[in-house]
Amino acid sequence: MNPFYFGPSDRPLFGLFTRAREPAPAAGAVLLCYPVGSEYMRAHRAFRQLNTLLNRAGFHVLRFDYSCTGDSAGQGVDARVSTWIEDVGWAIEELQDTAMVDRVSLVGLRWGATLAALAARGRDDVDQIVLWDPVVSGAAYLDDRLGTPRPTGVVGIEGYPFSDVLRAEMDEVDLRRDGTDLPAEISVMVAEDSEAYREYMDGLDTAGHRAGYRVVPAPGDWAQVDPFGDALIPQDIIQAIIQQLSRGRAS
Amino acid sequence: MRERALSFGPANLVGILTEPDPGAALPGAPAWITLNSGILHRAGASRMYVRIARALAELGFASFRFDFSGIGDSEVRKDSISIEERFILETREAMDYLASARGVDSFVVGGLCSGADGAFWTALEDSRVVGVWQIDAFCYRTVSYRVRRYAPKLLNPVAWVHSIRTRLPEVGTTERDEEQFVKPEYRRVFPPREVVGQGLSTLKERDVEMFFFFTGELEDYNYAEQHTDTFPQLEGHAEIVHIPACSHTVTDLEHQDRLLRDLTGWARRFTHERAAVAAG
Repeated sequence: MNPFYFGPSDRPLFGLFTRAREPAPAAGAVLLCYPVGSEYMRAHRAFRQLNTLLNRAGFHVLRFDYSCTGDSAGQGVDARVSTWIEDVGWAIEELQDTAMVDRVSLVGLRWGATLAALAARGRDDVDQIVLWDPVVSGAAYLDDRLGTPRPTGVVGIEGYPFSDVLRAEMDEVDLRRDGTDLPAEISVMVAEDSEAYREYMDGLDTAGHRAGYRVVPAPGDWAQVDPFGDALIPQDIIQAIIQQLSRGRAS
Repeated sequence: MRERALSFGPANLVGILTEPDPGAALPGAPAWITLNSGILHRAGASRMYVRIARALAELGFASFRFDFSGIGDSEVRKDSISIEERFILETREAMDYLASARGVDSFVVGGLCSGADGAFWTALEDSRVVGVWQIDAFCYRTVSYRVRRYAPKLLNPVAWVHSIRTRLPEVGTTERDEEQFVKPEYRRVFPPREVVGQGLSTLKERDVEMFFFFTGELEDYNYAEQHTDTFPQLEGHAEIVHIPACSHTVTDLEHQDRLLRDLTGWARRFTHERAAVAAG
């Protein structure tokens, strides 16, 4: 395990790189993209589990914190979607250098899935993208978390600041419009079916992608605080992600 | 300010060292160590530990936030030491690391909830600790607590009805799939009041500085002076803040600012006082 900082010198990003378990030859390299806000804290344990199991399945793994989140540089009030998308690009290059591979796969959860999809546009070095419970519409996400009419200024969502600028950028994000032109194999894995997901899948289909869509029922809601202070680890989805990446590599 | 990611100690624990800019460090100042709360990783609830570390660096303090084994990014230990023992053992390993790598010989330890508990027990075990800060520390009901809690209800018929309802078994509670959740290893049990009182007296005798921040979600705490009423020996020796509207994990942005302001204010005051004493 190697914790380190990487990326631009004016905003170092925290990353944690772990190698595939020996003696199996490396099956590939996977970049894990966390959710944001309170969902980041709730998902951390699940990501660690996913990281460990991917290493056992033969994958090198990098997970990292976007600017203004976790241990990376920057204050929460300065967070920007546009910077986060750049950060995913930095992390892809860091993973390629560290793991000494040309191509990588991306796995993202919630906003992490959305950022992974947006960052992959125009790249030719991404094999697979697994979108886990993606945020399809930034506007719908904000409506759900803040209600309408929306407040103004810096707003706290479960302890994390969301500035006007960040919310305006989130409002503009819609995978159905911006996340279909992707040069990679796409799998969407969700705990619960929804119309937004199916619309996104239709968009991918129209764009010529034969994207996989799996509903893997899981308890819990990333937006909900667990009343017992426990960590949610949806084992079935985690296993499904590993199978998907392993299958993609074998084919 | 500079931040470094590292792993340290026999268990390869993962931590972040935050240091002031070269030339801005306070000479001889203690280094701060923040301890995980529950299973939340080292960034802390609402990323508060990161904000605290960076605010302290602005004041000239180095600080270190790390994950206990099995929490956050740190691996699970191969031995079978309980979480309570690990609080002390691994915090001391962090101190040992900072002592050898950075030449620091005194420390301020603290955290929220279980982090507060770990800070208290470590301070009792290790004389290098010169300051302790705790969010929602061990607390105990007093007469004034009971008056504040129960007196309004005694005269309120609605409260009586609610009291009866809450004693009835819940209907329709959905069961969850326990295999999909990981429980925190540490289940918080408050030690007897006398044990904590004795510990606080020991810390006071050692001249350990103390800062307590109580939120409104600690069921056993409901007025500002409760801690001093419970442990009168601390009067004049500890700073105590109580924010009734504050949630346990300090989610309100204004409360976060208040915590940061009060905590760094305490750091600045006691450091200046100690420097003045040292200078004669």
